[in-house]
Amino acid sequence: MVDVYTILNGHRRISIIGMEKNVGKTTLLNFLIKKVGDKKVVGLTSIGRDGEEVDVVTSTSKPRIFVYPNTIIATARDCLRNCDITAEILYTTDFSTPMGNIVIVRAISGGYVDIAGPSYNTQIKEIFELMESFGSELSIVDGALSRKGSAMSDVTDATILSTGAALSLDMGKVIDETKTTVKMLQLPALNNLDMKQRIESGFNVSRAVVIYKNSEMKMLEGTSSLESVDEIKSYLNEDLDVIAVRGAVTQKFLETLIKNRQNFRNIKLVVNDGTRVFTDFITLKKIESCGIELRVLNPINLLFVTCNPHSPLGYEFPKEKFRTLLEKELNIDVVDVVGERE
Amino acid sequence: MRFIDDKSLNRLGFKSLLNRVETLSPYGNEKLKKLKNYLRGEEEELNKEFKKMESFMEFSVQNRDLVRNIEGIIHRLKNIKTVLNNCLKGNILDDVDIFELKVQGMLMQDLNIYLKEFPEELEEFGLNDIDEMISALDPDGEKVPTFYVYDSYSTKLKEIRNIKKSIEKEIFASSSIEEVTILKEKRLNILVEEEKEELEVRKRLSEIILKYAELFLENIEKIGNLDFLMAKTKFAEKYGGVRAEIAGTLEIDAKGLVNIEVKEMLEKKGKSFTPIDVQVKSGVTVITGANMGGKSVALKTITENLLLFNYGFFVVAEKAKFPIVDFVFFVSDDMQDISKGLSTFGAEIMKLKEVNVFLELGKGFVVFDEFARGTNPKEGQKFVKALAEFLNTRESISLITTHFDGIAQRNMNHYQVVGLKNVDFDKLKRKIEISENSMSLIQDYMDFRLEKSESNEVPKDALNIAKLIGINERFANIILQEYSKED
Repeated sequence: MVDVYTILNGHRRISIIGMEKNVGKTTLLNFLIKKVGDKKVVGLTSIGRDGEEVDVVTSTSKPRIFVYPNTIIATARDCLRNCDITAEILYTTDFSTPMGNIVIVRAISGGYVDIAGPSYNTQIKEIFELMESFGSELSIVDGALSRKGSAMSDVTDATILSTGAALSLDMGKVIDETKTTVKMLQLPALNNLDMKQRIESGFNVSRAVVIYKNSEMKMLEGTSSLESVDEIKSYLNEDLDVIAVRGAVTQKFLETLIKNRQNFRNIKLVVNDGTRVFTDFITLKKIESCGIELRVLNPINLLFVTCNPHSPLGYEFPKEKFRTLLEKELNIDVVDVVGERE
Repeated sequence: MRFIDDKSLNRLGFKSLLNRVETLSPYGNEKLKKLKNYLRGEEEELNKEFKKMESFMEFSVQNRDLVRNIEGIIHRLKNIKTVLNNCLKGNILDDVDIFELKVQGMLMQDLNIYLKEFPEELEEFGLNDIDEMISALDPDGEKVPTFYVYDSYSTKLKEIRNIKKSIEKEIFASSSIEEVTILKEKRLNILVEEEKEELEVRKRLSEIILKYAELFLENIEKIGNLDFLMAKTKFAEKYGGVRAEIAGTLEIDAKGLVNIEVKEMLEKKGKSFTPIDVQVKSGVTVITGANMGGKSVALKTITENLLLFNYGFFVVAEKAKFPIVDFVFFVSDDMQDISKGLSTFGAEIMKLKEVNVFLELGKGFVVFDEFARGTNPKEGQKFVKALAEFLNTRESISLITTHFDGIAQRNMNHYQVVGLKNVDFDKLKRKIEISENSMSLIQDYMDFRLEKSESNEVPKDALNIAKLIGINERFANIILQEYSKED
């Protein structure tokens, strides 16, 4: 059995990210609150909106977040009206969202909260600082749909990934995809500090850079991932050492590299962090066999994975089998947040 | 009457100049954005404003820490005028609104302690007393800048919340889903009660706030004015502004006028700005001078400072006297008009029509930079001559620059840019030959000062300057032939 409290104890800022909508991120949040909320002051916010009563995308009913007294919450002003805690207003920020500016409150009573945090990582960072100044001991940011970016290591110091049956009818596929994501999140850091600095300075002017074995560095001119896909071909040769991409690395980009595998030998593909690589299980395998090693500038500390065997569409995976299979394949602790509650 | 049109402001770059005025709060910024010029007849008000600025400058030298504290508080103010206006409309405020009022009200209380130290001349910035309102928003006297509908507002509320709390305790303690569902249902009923009672309290509080809303808004107005005044004094201190004397008649008498932006640009290149001395009166002043001699810079410098003065700022000069004017025009070659399908000349004539209307109605300040340069020189010269004579009879200050001869008449003021008049050309030419950057060298030798001139001829420096910059030898020979033909 995983002792969640002990795992969380060493961290001040964590993010939770989901493989897909309805994989039980809110259930996970409630689970974490239950484990920590009466022992520590928890701070809660999200990137964008989450915690609706009915999921606005699939119109299935969703669990809501229930907090302990003393919890610090950063949410949009309009969402504050949907919270039923007795809220002490602590601070009003200038961060605007479609639902009003972000307000920081303290729960005087327990109750349901509706959280819609700021939209940018830099704002999340400030929100964390503010929440901590009001006493938050463990601050959690909930990443909304396709916002895996909130796992970014410059904002939080640890991450929990949530997966579940909502992803696909096929349990094997859920496990494969989760495995790919976990692999991405656990990508090793680029150890060469000198090279890391060069890449970071290159990122200030260009979307992508390449470095050759004689340590010559070239900047790509393309400003979008689409342009880089074509452009990268002309930079490939036997002396190529590193390709570094500032933004997202798309499936297309990886496929281009695979198709042109005869033009290079053993290279490193460097990205900001593991949330920037968009690919599937098979492509990842191919990448490895082409002699491409993935490296990140900012590694992510993935604490554990949670799973939800229920799908909101009505079907269900066998609980224990799902969990143990995941754990075996992922090589990381897996917690069934639904199972544990019962 | 409109004081100045946007185009003139753009040509002068006056808006970017104002960006250098650093207000601390949205209230001060609003004053800057809605800048108002002083009108003729408001000389006394302008004098008072200048006096306040001087008093503040003097005070801040001796009370640096106190002023820093004042700035610190003003810097933290948000614009919450909408909250107060909603309250004045009779709306019931929500708890975030009340929070904002409480926080700002408490800041005002702190601020007022410092403001009480102000000298008599700055007494008007002292704030209205809103202590009673703040006490109402802080029933437990905690003096903490946060807010919620406190239990102590109503015994009923307190009871409701106690019940709510006990149910929540049970919820947190329970491990049965069924039980939790029932408890949550029970809690929901209590919530409705709580909300009802909170609304009652907020209604009461909104009424108390309403009583103080006007006073609060007055305080905001005072703080906005103070913030703006401080920003103006800081601007003056940073750029060397002085209090200009208010001229009783239409005249400008200034020594050492400076254009901040040009000065900074030159200093970046390691050069210095030549301050401008000028004396002009109602009627026309003709400015002539060599190419690259800084006629346009002179015009901008004079106009910019006149604007600063009329908007209640100190001027950047050694010493100056400026008049309050009804309107300002700054007409120069403008690409925007050309894109509208008007030629430069067409645009100028359009503008002249407009200027004429204003000249009929008031006393202003009009600048024409190289009027009629876009048409043929023979007719152009006649147009400029006519413009000069026309403006000379008007009760306004007009400045025109020109390259045409024979514009300035005896009854007009005539300035010439000193230019390269006193420079030994052969010596400069030798220097240029061994230098890499001829343009920069010419500028070094160019004397940008204005001097009074009696002649109605314009200086013929074009050939000299062209030679210095360097022109093709054959081209130079042809030009020389043309010059000798004329002689």
